[in-house]
Amino acid sequence: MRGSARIATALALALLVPAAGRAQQGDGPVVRARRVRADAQLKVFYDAGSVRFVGWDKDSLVIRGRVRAGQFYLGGDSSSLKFGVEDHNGGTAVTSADLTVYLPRGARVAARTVSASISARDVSGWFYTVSGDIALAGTATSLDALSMSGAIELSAVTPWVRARTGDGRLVVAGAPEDVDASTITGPLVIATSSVKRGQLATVRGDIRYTASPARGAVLDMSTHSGAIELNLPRTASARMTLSSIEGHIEAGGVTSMPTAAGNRPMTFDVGDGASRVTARTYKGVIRVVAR
Amino acid sequence: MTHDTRHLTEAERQMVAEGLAGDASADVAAHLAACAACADDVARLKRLVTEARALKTMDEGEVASLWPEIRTRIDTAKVASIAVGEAERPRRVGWPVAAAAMLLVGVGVAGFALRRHTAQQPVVSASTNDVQLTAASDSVRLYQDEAQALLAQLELQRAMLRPDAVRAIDHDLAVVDSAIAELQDAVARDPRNSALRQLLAQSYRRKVDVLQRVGNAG
Repeated sequence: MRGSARIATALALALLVPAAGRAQQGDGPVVRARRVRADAQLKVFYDAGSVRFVGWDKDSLVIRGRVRAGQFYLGGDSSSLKFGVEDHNGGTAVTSADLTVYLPRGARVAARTVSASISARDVSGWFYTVSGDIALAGTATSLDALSMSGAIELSAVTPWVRARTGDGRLVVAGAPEDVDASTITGPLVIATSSVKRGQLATVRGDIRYTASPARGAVLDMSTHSGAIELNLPRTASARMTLSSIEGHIEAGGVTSMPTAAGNRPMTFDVGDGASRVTARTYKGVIRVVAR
Repeated sequence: MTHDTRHLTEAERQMVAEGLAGDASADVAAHLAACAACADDVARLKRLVTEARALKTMDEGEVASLWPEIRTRIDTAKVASIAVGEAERPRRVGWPVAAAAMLLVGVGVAGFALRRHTAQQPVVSASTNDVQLTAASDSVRLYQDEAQALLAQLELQRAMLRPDAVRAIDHDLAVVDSAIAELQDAVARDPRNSALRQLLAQSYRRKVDVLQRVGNAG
């Protein structure tokens, strides 16, 4: 019985892999394929190169591409798997691969690399890299993107996203609802009106918000010495609360110098004040620009 | 009705005090003439009634003049105790802000429909500021503690981290620590500035973020 099940699985995969292969031949040869549950958990780890995740409507995992340095491994069962590239013989200082991973949309990924770039479409989960870049798109239940110094670009539809980087550029687009995004010195750009709850912060990086706040949205922007630019359409509606301790505030063509303004926020309504936008900086400039 | 053995009831005393004793006034007067306790009580009530009627005659302006002192007392009672290094500085909105407010509201230079500007009517009341101060101070303490614990972990892990990760972590920590030092100085100069304390809390949060990422960099 068990033997016939294995044969059936092997046949199914034999049929599946060429089909997938025809569709994604540009991704390189199949490294491994396996049947997995729709809500499988997948852990991935290797150093350099790239990894691309693609969510699909099949109950299988297909890994295509090339391993440049190190030994590929895949372990686990249909509900919990782990793959990566490791150094078996101690002769490879940095493991490297360029892989494309097809997996069920309902699966969750936990990916960790050193310098390998990470991209994903229609995949949820946790993505971490030391210095690589991260680009996440499509639809996801939640996204957690962390980098020490790489750039992060989010253009996904998701109810929740958290993104952190050091000196990389962080761009939030797409249609996220709850966003917690921060950098240390890298610029932070928000280019979507979908955010309903936003915690946006840097230490030295500039924050640029180019969108119209959603009705009822609560956006909190904070930086130590970066500039904050709020680029709003003329139809925007928000209660603005702006504080700069040592920097100045430019709003509606008027500049407020940092005297008593540092102690008291400048508050005013744009439109009918249907959202709450708070911008706070120690010595950066805050600009509110109509477009 | 004999009052030799029974004092006036509270209702009777009130009626006498307000001049409403009516038919019973002869008996009541006789009792009051004989009973010093009730007479004293009625006299006290009469004084209260007189003072109360005098209050009613105050015009709105006189009542309004009492309000600032009442509000000051309420605000003083509401102040939360926060460990600060210096006394509260009076806060005034400087003329540039007021001027900006006038221009922003009146002119609408950039085409915004600026409905309200509260420079002249502060949106952040003293009590709101206190709540923000307390919350921000609590956040600073929590993040400080967490950062301290994570720093201890970092020192244990440092030898196992990749050199590029160490460089990135040290760089980010130096940037955050510099910001924290600057903000701590500013808070020492202006301890009741809630925006400063919120910025300080945010900086500590960034430090915690950096240190939490260290765990994944091994």
